[in-house]
Amino acid sequence: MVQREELEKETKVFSRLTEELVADLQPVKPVRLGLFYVFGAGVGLVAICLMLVVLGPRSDLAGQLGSSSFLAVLAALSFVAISSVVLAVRVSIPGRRINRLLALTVVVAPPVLALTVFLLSPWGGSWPGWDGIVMGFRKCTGSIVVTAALPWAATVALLHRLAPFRYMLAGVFAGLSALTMGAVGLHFSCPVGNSFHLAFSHYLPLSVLSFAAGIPAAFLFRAMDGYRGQR
Amino acid sequence: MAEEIDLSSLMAAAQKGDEAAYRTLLEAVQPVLMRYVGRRLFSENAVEDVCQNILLTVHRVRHTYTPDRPFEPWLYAIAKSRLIDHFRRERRHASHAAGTEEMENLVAEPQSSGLERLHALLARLPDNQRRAFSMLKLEGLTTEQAADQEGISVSALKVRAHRAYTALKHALSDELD
Repeated sequence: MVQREELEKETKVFSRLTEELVADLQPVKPVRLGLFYVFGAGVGLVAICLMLVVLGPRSDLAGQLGSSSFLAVLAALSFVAISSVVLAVRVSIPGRRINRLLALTVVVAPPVLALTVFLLSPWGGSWPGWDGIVMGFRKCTGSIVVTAALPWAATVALLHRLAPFRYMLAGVFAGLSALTMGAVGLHFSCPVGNSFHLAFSHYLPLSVLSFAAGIPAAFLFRAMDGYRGQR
Repeated sequence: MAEEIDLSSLMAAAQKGDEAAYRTLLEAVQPVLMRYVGRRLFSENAVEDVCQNILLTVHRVRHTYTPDRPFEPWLYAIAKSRLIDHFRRERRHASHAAGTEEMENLVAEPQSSGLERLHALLARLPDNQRRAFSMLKLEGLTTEQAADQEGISVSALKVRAHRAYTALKHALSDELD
């Protein structure tokens, strides 16, 4: 609330700008986040389905669907994917606060998941050697990146329609969400249960790559912000 | 008893295209923004520039305001982001400060040789950059007045002026080398 008396004391420094902005006023619809999330989820599901069509589902999928370890990892990945897109959206709307604990949780979740799988080793597995790690990394991490490209692009495009002034943070959460969607798809597709493979090729890269994905997103947000500011 | 203005209702009406409500809103937030920014910046010109940017941003992202939420946190978040942008720009421009200082010394130099050198350097710039520089640094116009004369936005004028500073800085460096 502002006191009208105070306003009268102030000189109208910006009267010309005010008139220009008023003249440019068009009705706008307040952003509808429900549609945003539905669209984002739809794009994510399409990307996961495309991955399954290309790579095929893992041969033991029917049996794994009854496994608590499989479902726990699926739940953890889904939680990270959904939470990070919610955080990306909240960061991109002025005045919305983000839950710092949630933000910290989703950022550390992939390494924690990698460590948990490594320590508990629910599917067993011995050290595959660096060649095996590198090969797995190339195949599975590559698949995650390719699958994440579409959801990442869609999320960045949608966030750009909001106001992502905290460029890097919005970009990192968008990247983490998209990459985790890729990891969810891979969870249904990759039959390798070796703990080392899962830690190094499925979960650890999510954290590193989400920061890498944040850089181009931040660059885009900043560039578009500056560009729109000049119009 | 002072009449209070409900900024949330005004913004909600503005989102529907109510020009009178929007004008009232913009006029109401200006002193608030001037005080908010003024507490963080010393230069009056910088305060006005940042406030202008905030108002332009408010206009551009007005669809991100949700009417059932308080208006002030939304406004202050935008103001904070534009202030941070300002500080980032300042830091970036600090690296050009030496060159700009030299240019200002040239402008201030009473001897004709300084002005001649400056005019020689200015002659190498594209027309629009030369005009932007001349209006701001030689004629002493404000960015708003200069933008008005050119018929462009203040931001666009600043971009031209910045390009002119950068080009002149490089030209001066080359001369000194």
